[in-house]
Amino acid sequence: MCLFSLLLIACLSPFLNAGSGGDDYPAVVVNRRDIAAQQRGAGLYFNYCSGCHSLKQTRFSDIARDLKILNTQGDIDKEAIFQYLNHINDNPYSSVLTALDPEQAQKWLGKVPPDLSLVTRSRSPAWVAAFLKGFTLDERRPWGVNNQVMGNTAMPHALIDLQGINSQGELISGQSARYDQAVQDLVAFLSYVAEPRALEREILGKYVLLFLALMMLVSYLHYKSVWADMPAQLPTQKED
Amino acid sequence: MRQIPQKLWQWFDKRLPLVGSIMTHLTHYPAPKNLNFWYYFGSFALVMLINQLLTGLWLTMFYQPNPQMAFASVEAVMRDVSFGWLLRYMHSTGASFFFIVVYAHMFRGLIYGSYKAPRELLWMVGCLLFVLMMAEAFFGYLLPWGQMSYWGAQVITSLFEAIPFIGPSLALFIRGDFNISGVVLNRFFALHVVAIPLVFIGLVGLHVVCLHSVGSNNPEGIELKKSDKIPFHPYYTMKDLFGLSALLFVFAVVVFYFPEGGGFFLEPPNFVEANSLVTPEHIAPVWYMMPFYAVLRAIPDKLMGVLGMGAAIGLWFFLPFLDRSPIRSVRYRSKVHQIMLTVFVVSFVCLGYLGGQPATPLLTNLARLASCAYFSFFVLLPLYSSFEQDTTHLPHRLAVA
Repeated sequence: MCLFSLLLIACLSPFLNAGSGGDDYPAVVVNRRDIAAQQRGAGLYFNYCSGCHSLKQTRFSDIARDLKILNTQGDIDKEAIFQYLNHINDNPYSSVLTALDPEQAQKWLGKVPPDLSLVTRSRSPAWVAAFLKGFTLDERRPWGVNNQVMGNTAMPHALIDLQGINSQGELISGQSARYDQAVQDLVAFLSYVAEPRALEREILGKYVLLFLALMMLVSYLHYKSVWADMPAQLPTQKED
Repeated sequence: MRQIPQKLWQWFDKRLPLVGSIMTHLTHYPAPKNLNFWYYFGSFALVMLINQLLTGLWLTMFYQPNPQMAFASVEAVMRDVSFGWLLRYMHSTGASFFFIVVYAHMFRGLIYGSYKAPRELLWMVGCLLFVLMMAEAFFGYLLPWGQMSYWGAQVITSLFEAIPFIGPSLALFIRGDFNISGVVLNRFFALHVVAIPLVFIGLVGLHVVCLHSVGSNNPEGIELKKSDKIPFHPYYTMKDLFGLSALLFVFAVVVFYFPEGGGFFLEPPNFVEANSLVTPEHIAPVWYMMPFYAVLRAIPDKLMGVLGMGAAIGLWFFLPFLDRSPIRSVRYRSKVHQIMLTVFVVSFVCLGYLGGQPATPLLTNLARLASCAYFSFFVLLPLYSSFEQDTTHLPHRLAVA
């Protein structure tokens, strides 16, 4: 049993730092039950990000359903979808695409802005937060900003108004609670988009683990009693 | 009237001896009564295989083997299919667990000498199953069509180019294209869901038939008398049921709470769709291939590296003939063998670690050292085992518990 628990620890040890994504960026805790944070994040996303970045693996209607953007009948609120989320077409069930033409984006930015459906999984929530907080003013760059997390990024600082510039003409860094909250909300929303079924997974997991723990207990007791009741000589054990 | 079901059953059983087969291979199979923890892993492997077959079957219903749709169809399974996320995580976690379980199963065979006469063929069929598992995992890994899928397949298929004369044509034949493309995706899909599983299931049957004709080895490694064996049912079915619930508990913890396995089971770069124009910074195979990948990288010449990697797996097949000692279990083997086994296991784990790290000069030299240690086990085994002929200290039968 001792050996077994040692092995268990050995098997699980790679996952102990799983939540942080294994990188050195300050950890970000995402509460999947905090729908309000995801709604605020969605609001920010569709105001500041969706002009360039698509979320093509998801749909406006799915976001509305999961983030509880519902009308009084409990269906998805199509008016709210067009008011807050979908500014590109008149289909509430459409994939979350961007109106930006890739060829023009290439010309204007030097790079087509990537789809962000899975960015918190291909990087990590901590990376996204560190990137958004990592902008610095830099006159040598075409957009006047550089980034500490991704050097020479092609992305302009889209959230510069939220972060703010102080009286010395520098980006306000470190102590802007409002900007930290905005980044936290955006990360919460993007984490939801990357794995919309994660909450369902964590809730179902509890019941499955409870069942298996019970099964483990019952099967252990049964196995012990079957072995304890083994007769001194079984019919099959008679030597020829 | 009452006798009709009984007669019908007799008619059936005469033509298809179902009950007899179940008795021989399951309920009445005589198993040693001293099987320990390490003997769980055989039945675990069977359960993991069934898990892969069933979840794989359902995933096939939604997956699109087409480079334009593959990545999105996997994401659709994760989002739009009811419990699709569960099927996918059970399959991806199942692949890693299958390897964990099989590595433990092989370790068992190694320490208790289960490869020795009369179980040579049982061992070799097992080795063949291991090779097929690696092929199956490799073909399956291309299907999500992420960056690591694409570039991993590119690296591995290009290994065949190292073979002199026929190499480039062989690599072209295997891929059916000059690069990884839709053609490759389609054939890997076919191999992953039809060809390899068919052969695999057949060989698992053969593995069990082999086992049941020669009988199970045991931790003491001695031939057991009938009185030291017990029927598989209920003693081992109940023991395995407990072990299985423990395994499934750990499995469920990973599936429901750590499905990415800390980046080992689902690698972060694979959440980016395959792009033939952008090479990832660091291409590493999935963890279960890493020891062999480390051997490949440790050898400076590409052809020699491929041969070295092949030998690292191929030598397993010859273990029954390299080991000349008549003693099976590590408990009664010489100190030399015990040390060599430790060196072998440690070098294998080190190679596994190094295979996942960037190839810096220091780490490459360490990988060379670990490769030498790994191969020294196979090279030295025939030499020292010839001297381990004294069997007088072996117990004649199991001690009374």
